[in-house]
Amino acid sequence: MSAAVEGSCHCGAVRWHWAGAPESATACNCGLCRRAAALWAYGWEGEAITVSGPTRSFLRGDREIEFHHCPTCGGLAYWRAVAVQPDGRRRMAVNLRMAEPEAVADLPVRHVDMLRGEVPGYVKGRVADLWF
Amino acid sequence: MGEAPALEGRCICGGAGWWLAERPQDATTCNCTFCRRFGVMMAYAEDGPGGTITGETRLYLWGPRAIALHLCPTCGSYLGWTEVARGGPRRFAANLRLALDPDSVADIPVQPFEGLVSFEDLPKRGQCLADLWA
Repeated sequence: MSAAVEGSCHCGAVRWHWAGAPESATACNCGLCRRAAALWAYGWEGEAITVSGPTRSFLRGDREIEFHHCPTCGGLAYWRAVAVQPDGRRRMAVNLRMAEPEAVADLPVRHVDMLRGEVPGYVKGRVADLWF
Repeated sequence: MGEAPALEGRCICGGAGWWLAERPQDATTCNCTFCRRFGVMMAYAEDGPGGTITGETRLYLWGPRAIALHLCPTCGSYLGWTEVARGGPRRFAANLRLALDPDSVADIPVQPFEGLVSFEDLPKRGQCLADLWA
C-alpha cells in the first residue's frame, strides 16, 4: 500500500509518518488528552509508525507511556510505550492533530470515556466534527 | 486579584496555568496552522485586571509576532498568548482546554475564527465547547 499520512509539529522539527491509513481517531476525556485536544491513531513502532526529530517527553502518572512533544513549539506529536510487548513490538500512537486536516477529516472518531473507565468506548462522527 | 477568579486553568503537568476574572461570553476556535494543532478554545481579556498566565512558560513567536504564545516548558501545553507590548493595556488569551473543571466551561458558546486566510469571525453554529471535545 502506498498511501501514507504525515504529521509534523508547527515549527516542523518533530515529524511522524503513518504507512497506510489509520482506521479511526481516538478522542479521550482524560485530563491530558482534553488539554492537548489529542486525536490518537494507535500502531506499532517501526511498522505503521516512524518518527523523527528531537523531542521532550514526560511520563504519565502510571509511568507506562511517554508523551513526546516538540521543545520549541510544544506540539504533542506521539506517545510511546515504556515497555515492549512479549513479542518485541512496541505500542505507539500519533496525534492526528499534527496532520494536514484534509488527510484525516473523514476518519471515524472513537470516543473513550476514560474518566468513567469506559474503554474501548463507542464510534460516533468524524474528525471534521471535532475540528474547528 | 482581589476577588476569586471566575475560571482557572492548569497545564498537563501543573507547572503553569491561567486565571480569568470573568466568565467569557464565548470561546474562539481557529483553523490557523498553530491553533488547529492544539484544538484551541480561546477566551480574551485585558492582561492583568482581566486575568493572566501564571507559572514558568516558554515563549514561541512566529508570523507577524504580534502575540507571544506561552507553552509549558515541561509538558508543552499551550496556555494562551499575550500581546507583545507596545505600551498601554495589552490583551491576553487563555486556552479553555486547560480549565481545571471541564464542566465549568462546557456550555460556553463556540465562536469560529477563520485564521488561515480571511482572519474574520465566522457565523456561530450553535455549538458549545462540550460539542468539540471527547
